[in-house]
Amino acid sequence: MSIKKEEIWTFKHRPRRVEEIVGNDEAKKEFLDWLGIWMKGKPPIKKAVLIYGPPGVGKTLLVEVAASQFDLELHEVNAGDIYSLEFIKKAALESSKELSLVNKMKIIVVDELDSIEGPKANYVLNILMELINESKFPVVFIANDGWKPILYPIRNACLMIEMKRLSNKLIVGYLANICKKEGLKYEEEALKVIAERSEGDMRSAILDLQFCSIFGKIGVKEVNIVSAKDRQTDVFSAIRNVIYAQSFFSAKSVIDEFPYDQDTLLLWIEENVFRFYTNPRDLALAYDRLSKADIYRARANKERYWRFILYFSDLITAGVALSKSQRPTYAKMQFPQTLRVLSRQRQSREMRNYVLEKISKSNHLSLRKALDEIFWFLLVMLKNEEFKKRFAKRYELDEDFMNYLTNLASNIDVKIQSRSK
Amino acid sequence: MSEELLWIEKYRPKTLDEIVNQEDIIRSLKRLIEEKNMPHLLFTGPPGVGKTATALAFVRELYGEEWRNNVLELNASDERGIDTIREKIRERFAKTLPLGDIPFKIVILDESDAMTSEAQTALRRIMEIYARNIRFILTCNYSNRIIEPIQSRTVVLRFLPLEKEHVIKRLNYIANNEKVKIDEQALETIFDLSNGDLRRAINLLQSASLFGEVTSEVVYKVAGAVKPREVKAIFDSLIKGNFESARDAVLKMLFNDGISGTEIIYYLYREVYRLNVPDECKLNLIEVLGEYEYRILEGSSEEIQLNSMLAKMQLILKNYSK
Repeated sequence: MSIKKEEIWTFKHRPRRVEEIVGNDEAKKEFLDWLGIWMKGKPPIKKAVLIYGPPGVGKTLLVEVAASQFDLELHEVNAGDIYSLEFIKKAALESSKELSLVNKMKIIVVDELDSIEGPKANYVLNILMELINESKFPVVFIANDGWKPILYPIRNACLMIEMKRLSNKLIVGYLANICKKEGLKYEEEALKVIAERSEGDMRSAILDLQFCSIFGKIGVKEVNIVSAKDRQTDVFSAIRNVIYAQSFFSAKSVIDEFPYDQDTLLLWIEENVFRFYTNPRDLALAYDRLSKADIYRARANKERYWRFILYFSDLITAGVALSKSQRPTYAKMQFPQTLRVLSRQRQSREMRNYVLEKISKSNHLSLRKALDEIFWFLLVMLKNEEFKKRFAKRYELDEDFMNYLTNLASNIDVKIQSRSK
Repeated sequence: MSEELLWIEKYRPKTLDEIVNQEDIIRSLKRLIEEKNMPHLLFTGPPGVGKTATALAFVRELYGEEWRNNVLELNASDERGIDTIREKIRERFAKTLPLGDIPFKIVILDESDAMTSEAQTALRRIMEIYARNIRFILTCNYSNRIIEPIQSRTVVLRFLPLEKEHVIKRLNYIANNEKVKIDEQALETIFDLSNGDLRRAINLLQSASLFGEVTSEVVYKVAGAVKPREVKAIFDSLIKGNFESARDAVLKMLFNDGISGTEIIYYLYREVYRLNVPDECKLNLIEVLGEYEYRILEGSSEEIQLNSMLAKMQLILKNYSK
C-alpha cells in the first residue's frame, strides 16, 4: 500500500496554529516569546534556540507551524549535510534589504543536531557557531539529546527549550479527535493501548492509528495485531517475562529474547523491579542479587575473565525472578531513567569539579576536602545575592556555572524565621 | 590581587606568629629557620588546627620572596598515584638547584595519610633518592596511618586541638573585622558544632552571617542545612515504605547534583545518628552502609548498588517498625 504524503495522517491532521499543538505549553510559550523579540526587529540576548526532546513530541512541527503562522521564510537543513550548511549560512547572512523579491523575515532551522559526530564534527560545530554569531535572523537547532557533551559550545550560545514526552491522556484525546474527523469507530481502551505503547511519541501513535484503521475500526483486538512486531513491545514483554517468571529457565531465556545487550537489560530490570515487587523482603533479595551481578560484571571487566558474565546473566534474570514470595503487583513499565540522564550527569560532575578545583587551589585543600568541608557551606552562602555576585567575579565563573550552582543551592533549606527589621 | 572572598582564605595565618595554640612547634620551627636546616617533618593533628597554614608560613619565612621557586605543594588525595608524584618531583622540581642560600628545596605533601601503604613505601624511596637536596613536610590527620619507615625518617610534630578560648577569640576578631553582629551564645554554638576545627568554625560563621545578625538559632539552622535536602527525605520515604521516592531522591543526588555514590553514603551515615529508631536498628543500618560502600568500590554501577542498599535498609526499618 503506498500512501501519498497528503494522506499520511500526521500531515493531514497537522495543526495549523501553535495553539493547536498539544502539550508542552511552557516550551511553546518560551519559543514564541523568543521569536516575538526577533519580530519586533531586534535580536534577543540569545540569538539561537536549541529545542530538544524525544522523537515525535512536535519539535520540528512547532517551528514549522510558527513559521507559517507568522509568515516567515523557512530555511531548513539537516546538521549532517555539510554542503547545505554552507549554503544556509549564506542565506542567514544576507540582510533583508538584499532580498529583492520577497521582503520576508527568515527563520533558519538546523535539524538533527545529534548527528554531529566523527571526524568532521569540529568543522560542523565551527560553521554552526559562526551561524549563531553572524546570523541576522532567528536560528533554531533541533536535537533529541540536547545534553550531548559535544554540543557544549552550542548549548552555551542557545536558549535551551525542552519538549517532553506527551501524556497518554493528551495522546488519547488527539487520536480520538482524528477518529471523529475520519468517521472511524474506536474503543477508548484501544486508543489507550496505542498511546501507552507510543511512550509519549505522538507521531508514532498517529501512524499506528492510521495503520489500524485498515481494519475499519479501532478495537483492542485490531491494535494488538499491529503491535506484535514492535521492537519496544519486545523490550516490555521481555522485562515482564523476567518479573513474572516462576522457574530458573523461563527467566534465563529472556537473555536471548531481549533485543539489546545485557547491560541495558539490567537497567530495564532495575528501573522496574521495585514497581512490581512491593514486598520489602522480596525487593531486598532481588536487589541484593542485582548488586552482586554488578560486582561480577566489574570483576569480569577488571580481570578480563569473561566467564564471570555467566553469573551476571543468571543473577539479573533468574536471581530476580526467584526472589518473589508473592504475585507481583500490577504496575506500569517504565523506561530506564539512567539512559536519559547519563550525559547530563557527566556534565554536572565536570562542572562541580571545575568549581571545586578553583576553590581547593586557593585554599590549599584537596578536591575531596574542598567538597566535604567547603562546598555545602558555599552553597548556603550562595543564597545571598551579593555574595553570589562577588563569587562569580572572584572565581571567574560564567552564567552557566552560576546557574548550576544556584540550582544546587536552591536544594538547601535554611528555614530562618524572618525577624522584625 | 584578587579579592579573598572566603574567610577561611582571607583569615588564613600568613606568618608563624599568627598560628594559634602551637607554641612549642612554632618555637622549634623558628629555630630551624635560624639554622637554615631541617629534617623531614610530619605534621599530624585534627583538621582545621593549622597544619598546612603552618607549613606555608614556615617556607615563606625560610625562603623569603623566593619561596615559590623552592617549594612544591602537592596533595596526596588529588594526585593520581605515587607515579605522578614521583614524576612531578623528578621532572619539575629535582632537576633545578635551589635558589637562594638554603641548600635544599621543600616538598609539602598534604593529606599524606590518604596514600595506600604501597604508595607510602614508594614515597619512602623517593625521600631517600633526593635526600640530599629535598626535604619533605608531610601533613596528615592520623599519624598511625603513616607507615613506620616514614615516621622513623621524619620528625613528628603533633598539633594540638584548639581550645575554646582560641577559637572564640579568633571568631570574635573576624566578626569585628567584618562588622558582623554576633552574640556570646552564638559563638559558643559555633564552637560546639565545629569540634575545634577552625576551618569549619569560620565557614559556619561566614555562612550564618549572610542571613543577618548571627544568633545561636541561625548557626544551628545553617549547620543543619549543610547537606542535601534529600538525605532526610530518603529515610522518611523508606520508613513510610515508599521505595520509589527514596530511589528518585538518590538518583537525583547522583545525576543532577553530581554527588558521588560514596559521598551519598557518607551523608546517609551521618543522618543515621539522628534517626528516631532503636540503637540496634541504627547499628544494622550502619552495617549495610559499610557493606555497600565496599560494594560500590567493587562494582561498576553506583546506582545499582545504591538502590540495592535502599531496598536493604527499607527491609531493616520495616522490621523495627512493628
